[in-house]
Amino acid sequence: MLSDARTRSIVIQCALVAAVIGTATLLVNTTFANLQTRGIPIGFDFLTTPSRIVISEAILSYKSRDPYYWAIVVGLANTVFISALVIVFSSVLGLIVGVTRLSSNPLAAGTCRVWVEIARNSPPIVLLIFLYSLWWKVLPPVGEALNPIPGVFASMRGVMVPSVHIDMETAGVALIFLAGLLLLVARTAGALRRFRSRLSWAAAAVLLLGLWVADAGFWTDWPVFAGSNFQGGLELTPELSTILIGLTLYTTGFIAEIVRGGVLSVGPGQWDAGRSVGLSRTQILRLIVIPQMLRVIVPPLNSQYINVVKNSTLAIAVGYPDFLAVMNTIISKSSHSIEGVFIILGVYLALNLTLSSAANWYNRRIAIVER
Amino acid sequence: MPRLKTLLGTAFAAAGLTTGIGDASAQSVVNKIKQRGYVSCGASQGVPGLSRPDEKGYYRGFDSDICRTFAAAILGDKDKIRFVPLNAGQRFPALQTGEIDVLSRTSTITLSRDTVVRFVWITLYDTDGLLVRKADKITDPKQLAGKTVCLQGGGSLTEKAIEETEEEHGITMKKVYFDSTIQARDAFFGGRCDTYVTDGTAAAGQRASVAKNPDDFDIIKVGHAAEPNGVAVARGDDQLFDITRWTVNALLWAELHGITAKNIDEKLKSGSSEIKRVLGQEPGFGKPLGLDDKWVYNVVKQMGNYAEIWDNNLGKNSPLKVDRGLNALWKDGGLNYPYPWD
Repeated sequence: MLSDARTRSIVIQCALVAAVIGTATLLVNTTFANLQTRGIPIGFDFLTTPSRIVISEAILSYKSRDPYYWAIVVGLANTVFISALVIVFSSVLGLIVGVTRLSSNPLAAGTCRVWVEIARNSPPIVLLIFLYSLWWKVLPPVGEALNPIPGVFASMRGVMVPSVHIDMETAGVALIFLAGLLLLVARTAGALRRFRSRLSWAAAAVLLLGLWVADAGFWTDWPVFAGSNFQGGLELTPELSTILIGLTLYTTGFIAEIVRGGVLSVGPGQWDAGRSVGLSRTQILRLIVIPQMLRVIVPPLNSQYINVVKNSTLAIAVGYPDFLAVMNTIISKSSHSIEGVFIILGVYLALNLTLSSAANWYNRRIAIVER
Repeated sequence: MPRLKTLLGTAFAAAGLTTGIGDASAQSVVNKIKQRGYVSCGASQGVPGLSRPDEKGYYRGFDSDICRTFAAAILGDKDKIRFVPLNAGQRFPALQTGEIDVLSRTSTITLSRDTVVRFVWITLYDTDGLLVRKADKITDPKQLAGKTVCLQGGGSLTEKAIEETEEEHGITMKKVYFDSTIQARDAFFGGRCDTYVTDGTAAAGQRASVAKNPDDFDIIKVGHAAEPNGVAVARGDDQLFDITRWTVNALLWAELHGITAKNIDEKLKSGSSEIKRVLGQEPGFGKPLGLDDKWVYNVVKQMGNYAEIWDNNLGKNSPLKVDRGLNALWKDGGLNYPYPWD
């Protein structure tokens, strides 16, 4: 019977699966037995109890009497916020730097080359700690904050900028949603392609009408120096700024290389063809080269984006409360380390799977358009 | 689906075999310590006066020396010890998972902590302190409204002290949390924050040894907690618990009887029968703990008594000059009191 290739393969596969399940069971059993002997409680009940931990800055509203699960959500929102901003900034910068490296201007190409080499050859944590230490080496104390333009102050406590607040009623919000819907319809309806720009104007008009109906009050909040700190305005803390700038500088280096490879992958004949019909360098890039290179660069770009999410955990080194930092606090405060680690693994897995499926979807889309 | 059935059947059989294996045997850590020849002790990442490696990597400080007494008790040699630097978040999991044998690192005893690890003894009564710049003229926690405070996060009790202060005075502060106490301290001395909150003795230590000019800084008390800092071991290990507890007791007992590292040999000859018994002249207190009868002698001979450890690291022989306060013996107006040997 074992001479039959199919049977043999089934047997081997069964043995393999059994071995995997066996090992997993052994691990789980040993873990539980060990946890029991060490008196470590297990279970996810603690998630709904008040956390009493403090999160120093958050984009969602948070108080220390909120339950653990909300603290986790708040930390996760910080991570998503940081990652999204870094992905957007480093993609734009990466495109510019990658293309500029191929420029015939030696100064521009050289600068970009240096950037790429520094970013690619330094560990991101060193870059972050270096940037963070610059805050109080370069910037003045808070009392002598730099004021480069009215309303903007920079000191070792961070950068303060005026913030804009918008008050609006429900009706206005509904209208703005409607406008967004219109824009969406206009973009997706292929038959209306010719009217797209006109529809966009109409949507903008509806949007403004919505704001007017909502009696939207715009008001600005200017930072004022009061005693020892600034009050009001929007505060870009050194911690947030460092992780944003540091990770953007770092990731840009990698994305620039991917972009450069993408540009080079488009044959020189395409450039010649573009020039022969009188297109400028920028036009050739925008109309011919970039659409063709997207197919090549999207998969490696995707892994860079996943790296951004993973690298955002380095926020812990500069005191920004990202998801991992919050989870660390929760683990130490609640002593539920096993559950905490599972949550950490699950969340990063979910984040990165979402990111790669989005990229795969986009990749498929551009691939179909091309062929 | 015969194929799937075979697959599942084999899988369950294999899984069944492995269940039942893996019950951890409840062997005391003391045996492991004796086998491997050193005590693994949880230390801080650098709190002057409490536990901090010097330029040669030798851990100095009150908490570190307390841990050396355990090595002296169990292995008869204070230097058979390895320190593992841990941040606030790592310290309890490290103990629970057996990465370290003993935790001696400014850990306040609380209910939630005492139910996950086992606190042995209060080795240090502390308070929470705010390190402030004298130039800022902050003398009262009330003046902290709107100020920026740097602190080590990770569920430490200083967080609670800050929260209490905010509630009590109806103020809010801007908090900047760091993963390690060194980051928080450097951020404060760098100018990122108006104040830095930590344990009172730790604040004294940072001021004495990290500040460029210690006279530029003040320490103000914050919160109401008298923080009882203790030594902890993992739960479920009675032998290690007993040994660590009675080692700390030996330090206080030696102080009470005026037994020091210098005069111990003299006291061994001339002392009372209790002293002779505790110090192992006569068969006594080694066996119940699974130790050599001379273990108390080893501890005091090598490390001195509680007062000596205090003076060397925090008190008059140190740059910190912290007052004994609640940490004095009960007969001197403090809270420390040795249990009777019998």
